Amino acid sequence: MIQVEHLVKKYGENYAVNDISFTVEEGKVYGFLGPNGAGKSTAMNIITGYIAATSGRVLINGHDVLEEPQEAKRCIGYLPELPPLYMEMTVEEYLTFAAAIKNVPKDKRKAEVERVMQKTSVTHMRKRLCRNLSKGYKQRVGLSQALLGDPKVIILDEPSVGLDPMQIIEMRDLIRGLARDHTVILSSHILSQVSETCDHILIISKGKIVAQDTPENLSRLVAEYETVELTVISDPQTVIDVLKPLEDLSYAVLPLNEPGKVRVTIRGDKDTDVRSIVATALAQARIAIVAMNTISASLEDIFLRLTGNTPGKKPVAKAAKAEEAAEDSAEAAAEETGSPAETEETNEGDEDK
Amino acid sequence: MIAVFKREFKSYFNNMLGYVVIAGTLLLIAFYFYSTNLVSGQPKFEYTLIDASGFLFTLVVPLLTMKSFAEDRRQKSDQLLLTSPLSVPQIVLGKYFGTLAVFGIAILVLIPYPLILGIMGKVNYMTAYSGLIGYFFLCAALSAIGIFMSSLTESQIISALLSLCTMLFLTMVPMIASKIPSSALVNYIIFTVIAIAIVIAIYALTRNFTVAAIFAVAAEAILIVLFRKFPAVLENSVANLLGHIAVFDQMASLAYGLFDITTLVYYISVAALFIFFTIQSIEKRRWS
Repeated sequence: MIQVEHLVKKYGENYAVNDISFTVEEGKVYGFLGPNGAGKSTAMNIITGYIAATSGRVLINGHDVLEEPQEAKRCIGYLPELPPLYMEMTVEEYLTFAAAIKNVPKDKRKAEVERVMQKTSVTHMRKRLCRNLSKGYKQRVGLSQALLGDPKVIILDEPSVGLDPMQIIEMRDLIRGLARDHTVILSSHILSQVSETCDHILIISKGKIVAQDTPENLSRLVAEYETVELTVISDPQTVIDVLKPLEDLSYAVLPLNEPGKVRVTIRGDKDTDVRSIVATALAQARIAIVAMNTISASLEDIFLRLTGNTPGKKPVAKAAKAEEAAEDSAEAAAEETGSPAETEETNEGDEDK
Repeated sequence: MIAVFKREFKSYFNNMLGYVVIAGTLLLIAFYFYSTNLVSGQPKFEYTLIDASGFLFTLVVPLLTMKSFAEDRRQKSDQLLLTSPLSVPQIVLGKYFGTLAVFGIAILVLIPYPLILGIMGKVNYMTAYSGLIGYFFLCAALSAIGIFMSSLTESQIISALLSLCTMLFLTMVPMIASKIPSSALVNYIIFTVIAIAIVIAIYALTRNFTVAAIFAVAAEAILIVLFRKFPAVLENSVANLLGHIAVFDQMASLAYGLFDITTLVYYISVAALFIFFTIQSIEKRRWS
C-alpha cells in the first residue's frame, strides 16, 4: 500500500528524519511512536506530500508522491498535528470546500459531508464557525476532513492530543472502526494509545526507526528482568543490610511516609525467582512483608530504552549505586525507583522545553 | 481551482476586509471624480483614474493581498491545500483570481461614472472605458506582486509592509528616473550596485558560494566591457529600465490614447511573472 524507502530530511545540518524505510500493508493500523521532536510529524508530512524529502522516496499505491502527486494524494486523508481548519467558515462550509478540492463529484458532495459528520459526531455543530469550536471538536472536524472521499489510507498525526479522557476513548474506538476498511497510520508519544489501537508499532527516535514489530513481540523483547516491589515494616538501613549479601540482585530502598514502613524495589534476571529469595531473606531477618507484587516489563520500558531515555537501566546497574541513593535522600531514591510512567512524564517535560 | 477561488472570494466578506477595500476604493475614486471631473468640468473620466491610481493602489493592494498565503501558512490550513490532489499552480491561480474578483466588484460599480458625465456633456467613451479596463489589469498586475509578497512570510503585517514598500517604489519610479544623470559612469555604478545586491540575494537564497561568485564575476565583466567599449549603451540606461517598470505610467499611455493592446500585454506579463514567482516560492518552501 505504502512503501517508504530511505527517507532523509535535513534541515541545515540537522537530520529531522534519517534514513527511514518501511512498508505499510493494507487494512492494518500502524503506529509511529516516539518522543516529541523524534521526526514523526516530519515523516508524515513527507508521506502526505506536504514537504519534500531531501532524499529517498515514498510510493503510495504505486504512485510516487513527488512524481505523480495527484494520484498519490487522492489515496490519502491527512489530519495534521493542528487541524487545518479555516476559522471563518462554518463546519459544513469547510467540509464542503474540502470535499470539492478532494475531487468528490458535485452531486455526491452533500451526502459525503453528511456521512463524515455523522461518523465523527459533529453533525450538531454543522452551523458553528470553526473558530468557536472547542479543541476536541476542531480535532473531530479535522478528522472528518481526512475521511472525505473515502481515501484508502488515513494518516493521523497525534489524533488525541488535547482531548479529554472521554474523547480519547471515543477517538480510539473511531480509529478502530476505521481500520475495518482503511489502512491507518497514526503517531503518538503516548504509549498506551498506540499499543491499544495499533497492529504494528514503529518506534522512532532522533529521526530513525529503532524498532518495529507487533506490540506483543516488542514487549517480549524487553522481558529480560523481573522486578518485584515490596512494602516491609522496618527501617531502611536494616533492609539494606539484609539485601546486601544477596547476589545478582539490584535494589532501591525508599522510606514511606507512614513511619516504620519501607518500599523496596528489587530487580533480578528473569531466570532467578526474585520473590522467594527476597521473602526468605527478609523472613530470616524477622522483617514483616506487608505487600509484594511483580512488575511485569511493559512496552513503556522498551520505549524508554530504545529512545535513549533509560531509567530502566539505572537500578539494574550496581547495587552500590542504589544503596547510595537510598542513603542520600528519599527524593533521590524516588527518582531511582520511579515508575516508568512517572519517568516518561518528566522526560516529556524536558523535551517540551 | 474553482473551489479555491470561491472560498478565497467569500473569505473577504466573512470579515470587514472585503467591504473596507471596496468602500475605500469607491470613496477615493468618488473624491477624485468630484474634484477632477465635476468641479473643474473635465469630461475625461480616465484622468480621475490616473490621478487616483498611485494613492489608491498603494493602499488597496497591501490590504487585499496581505492575508492570501501568509494567513494560510500561519493557520496551517495550507496543509489542507498542499496535501489535497490540487497542484500548486491551481491553488495559486484560485487564490489570485479570488482576490482579483474583489477588486472587480469595485470596477463594476465604476462603470456608470462616464455615463453620468455623458449626461452633462460630450464624453469620449472609448478612452474612458479603455481606461477602466486598463485599471482592472493594472490591479491584476499589482495584486500578483502583493500575493507574491504574501507567499514569502507567515506574518500578514510583514506581507503588507513588503507590498506597501513595493507600491511606493513603483509610484516613485518616474520621479527617480527623471533625476538620474545620463552619463555612462553613473549608470555603470548604479548597475554595479544592483549586481552586488542580486549576488547577495542569490547567496542568501541558495547558500551556494560558487553560483553567487560566478554570477558576480559575469555581471561585472559584462558591465566593464560595456563601459569600456560601448559607453553609449549605458548612457541613460537606468532611466530607460525604470521606464519599463513604471507600471502606473503604462496606465497613462493606455488612457490618453486609444485602446492599446501592448499595455494590456504588459500588465498580463507582469501578473504572469509574479504568479510564477509565487508558485516557485511555495514549491521552494516545501523543499527547504
